[in-house]
Amino acid sequence: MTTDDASTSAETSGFKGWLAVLVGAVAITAALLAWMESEAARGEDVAKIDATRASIDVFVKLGASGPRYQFEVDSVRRTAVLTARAEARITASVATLLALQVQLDESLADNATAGRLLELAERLQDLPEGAPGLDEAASDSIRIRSEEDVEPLYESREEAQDRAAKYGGRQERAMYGLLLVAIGASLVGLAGLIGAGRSGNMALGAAGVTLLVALVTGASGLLL
Amino acid sequence: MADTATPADDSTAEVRDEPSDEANDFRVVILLSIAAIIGALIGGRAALLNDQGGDQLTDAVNADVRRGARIVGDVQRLYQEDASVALRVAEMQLLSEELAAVAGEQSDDEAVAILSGDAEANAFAAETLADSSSLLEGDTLAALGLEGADLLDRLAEIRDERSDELRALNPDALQAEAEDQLEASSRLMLLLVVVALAFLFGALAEVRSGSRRLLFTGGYACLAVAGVAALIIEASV
Repeated sequence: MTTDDASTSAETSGFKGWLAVLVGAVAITAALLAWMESEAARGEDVAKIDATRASIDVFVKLGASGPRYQFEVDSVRRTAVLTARAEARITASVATLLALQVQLDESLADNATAGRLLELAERLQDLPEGAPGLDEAASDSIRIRSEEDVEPLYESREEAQDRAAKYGGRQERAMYGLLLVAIGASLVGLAGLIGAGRSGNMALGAAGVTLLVALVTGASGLLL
Repeated sequence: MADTATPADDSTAEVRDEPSDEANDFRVVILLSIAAIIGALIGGRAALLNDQGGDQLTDAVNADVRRGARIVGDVQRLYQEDASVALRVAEMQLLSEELAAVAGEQSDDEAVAILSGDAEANAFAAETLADSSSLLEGDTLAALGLEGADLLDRLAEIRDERSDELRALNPDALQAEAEDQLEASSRLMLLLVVVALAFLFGALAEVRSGSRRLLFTGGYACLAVAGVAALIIEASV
């Protein structure tokens, strides 16, 4: 074997070694990026569902608390009507003494009724935390009393949307990384076809760089 | 290029016992074929679980919408029907009692008759209305003793009247189940990295004759680990 033959053999052997390493690297990088893509997609899906369910929650709680609020306002309004009627009975012009006496007594009855009805309305407004057999979702849905009560629901939805955007970004980068792996795999195949030599080494080098960029691109999603 | 600068080990002196190149190629092909089959099986199962999980997430949203609509309907029934009627009954009953009380203090017979008549009319109206109330069940005096807890008890009754299917709606459980499936899918995808390692070992075994035995062992070990782990994950789903 001449010196040139030995050198060519060593070069070919080295080329094949790197080719084998890159074939394995393609498989590993592709699997890794596919996992990152899958993991990001999972996170994004769950976060989007969380955001959607938070939106549903807002509507359900506002929709369910509305009738309760309306009832409570109406009950207080009824006592106001009774009180107003009691006053109106006194101030109204009455032609006879009997009618005046009856109106005065009815006014007293209206006033007393208004007071007791208000007590009842206040008792009905005071809801305990729950009831036997009542599910938590239904019990929670009638607790919205003001804009401040709705705020945590909006925040929860926005947090889920932000989470979905973050995972979406990761997924996009992992997908881009997979695209680069495909290009890298093509270059590895091309290098294999060309064989050892200047062109083959260049193709192999380009494949290695492409795979490295693919990995860095995918991993950069984790920084989001 | 020096031999030491490459990952390949082409020394053939130590591999006298190693099989021929053709036999080695065959062993590499077998290893990579098994790796491809295991990878395809794991990947396929991961895709299936991912699909099921995705479907179940959608089911969770649908269940949430149905449950939410039911809650709104039930609460409307409570406050716009039952509680509203009960409050009206209470108002008439209280007015009846107060009118009877002022009538009792009145000395004029004619005024007493008018006030008592008015009281009786209100009491009768309260009774009539109470008969139509599920919350009071005809008991007008019950309206006066109502509290917030009674409303929640009634809400529980209303919700219990729903069909078994509607009562069984549990979007949280559906979502948790879906997340379990997606997580299992993701773990299976991670196992593909181990399968890919077998590809690396197989590819290296093709060119590194000195450590073929070790590389084949490593390749098959990776496949065994991936297979066993996949079975464990499958059992946990």
